Amino acid sequence: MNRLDFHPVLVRLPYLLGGVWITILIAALAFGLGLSLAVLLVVVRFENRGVWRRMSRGYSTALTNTPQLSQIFAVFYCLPLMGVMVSPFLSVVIGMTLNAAAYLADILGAGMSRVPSVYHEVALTLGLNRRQTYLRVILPHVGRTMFPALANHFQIMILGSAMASIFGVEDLTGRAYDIGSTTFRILEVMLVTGALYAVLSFALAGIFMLCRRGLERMV
Amino acid sequence: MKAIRTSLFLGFCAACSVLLPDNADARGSAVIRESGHINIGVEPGLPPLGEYDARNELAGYDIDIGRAIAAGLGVEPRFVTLSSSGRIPYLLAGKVDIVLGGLTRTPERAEVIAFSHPLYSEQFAIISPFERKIMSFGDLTSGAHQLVEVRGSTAVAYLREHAPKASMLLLDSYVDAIRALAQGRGDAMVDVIEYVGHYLPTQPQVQWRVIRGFAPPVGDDCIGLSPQDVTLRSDVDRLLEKMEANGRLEAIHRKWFDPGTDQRAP
Repeated sequence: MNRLDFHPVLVRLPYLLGGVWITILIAALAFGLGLSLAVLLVVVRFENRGVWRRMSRGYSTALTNTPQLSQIFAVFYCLPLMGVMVSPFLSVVIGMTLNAAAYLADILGAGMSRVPSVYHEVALTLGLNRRQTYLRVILPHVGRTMFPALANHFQIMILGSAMASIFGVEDLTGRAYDIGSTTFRILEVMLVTGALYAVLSFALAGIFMLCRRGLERMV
Repeated sequence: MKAIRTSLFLGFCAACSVLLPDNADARGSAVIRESGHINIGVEPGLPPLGEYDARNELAGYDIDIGRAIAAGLGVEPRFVTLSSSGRIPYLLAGKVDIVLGGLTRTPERAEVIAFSHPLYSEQFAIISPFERKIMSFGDLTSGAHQLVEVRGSTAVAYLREHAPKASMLLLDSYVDAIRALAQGRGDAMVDVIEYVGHYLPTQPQVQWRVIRGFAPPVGDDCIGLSPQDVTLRSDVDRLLEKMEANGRLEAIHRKWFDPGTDQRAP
């Protein structure tokens, strides 16, 4: 076996670390936008019984049963066929947003179905309209109860954003491949990159744990 | 915290298993002959070097060279398909005994792997949609144009040295790069036209401009071998010399490349 040599990787560590911020940015943007879309989908699902409800469910079914990679691929290569040119970074964010919305809608939907009916009755008694009921009663409750699942999904998105490299985005994995193709030390690069993902994941787990404790104290 | 400690412990164990010596040592000629097969890394997305034919079987220049090497060693060829960026990692990890796939000999690569005698030399060309109005390599050095390149290819290293201001979108395969270029994600691509040219007809809506001769031949295309074992390298070189002498190398080259543009190394 060839001796491992981390020096060529370590001298390029600042460049590699720059990819960490791009990774976080991709995941954060896609999660934030996906959560907004998911709220819309789940409200439609609970407030309508007709075609809109079926469309909302159909959206989740379609996007949770197809690979995220093919969804990003469709955005990256199919939109230009329709005359819409978006950058590789934006293509990945849009693709991941569409995918995240489907999963997050299912997570929020599970939380919504567990909201006690008394919450709705109290909101009605207080004279809150539907919008106020959702914004002040139901969604905060769902956010608290489903926080662990939402946090888990964000961590999955951090790790899943590695596929951005396939579309030329210089995220953590993209920069790792770049260094690997220059130094030919792909094993060393991937060991360091894996360690960076692990550090990032553990840090996020710690932050989410603190957030969860804060939320529990608020109740 | 317990979960994190457990994860760290498992990560440490995994790292140890990687760092400890394992069975990834290069196989020499004797081991290969004894096993009865040789693992040959080829790139199936790089015609005419490698592609899947109408019967969905591997075919191309590299396949014929691989078969000839295997026959010369008296063993069965086992082809392992890989991408440009995977050629050297596969070789270093012992996943393949020799690797082809348009592997150009460069000083940087020679520090980590060994090369056989050259098979042929290759030269870069600029490929761009006609309306981009790119007329020379000088147009690319200003940094005003976006290039689309394949990660791990020699062209990337060449451009970083000769056009450092050029912005590059790096994709994983030639088919993706040509599609991205045709869709307007970039202005031009610099690569070996004998490889890229096969993909240009897949975008018939684009009128392509190909500019050759702006740079000398960038290097020799060779077979990559592990630097650890010299027996296989000397056997491969001996077989290539024999194929050169009896005209087999020439015949395989003419079969797959345009006979009018023979660029095989002297």
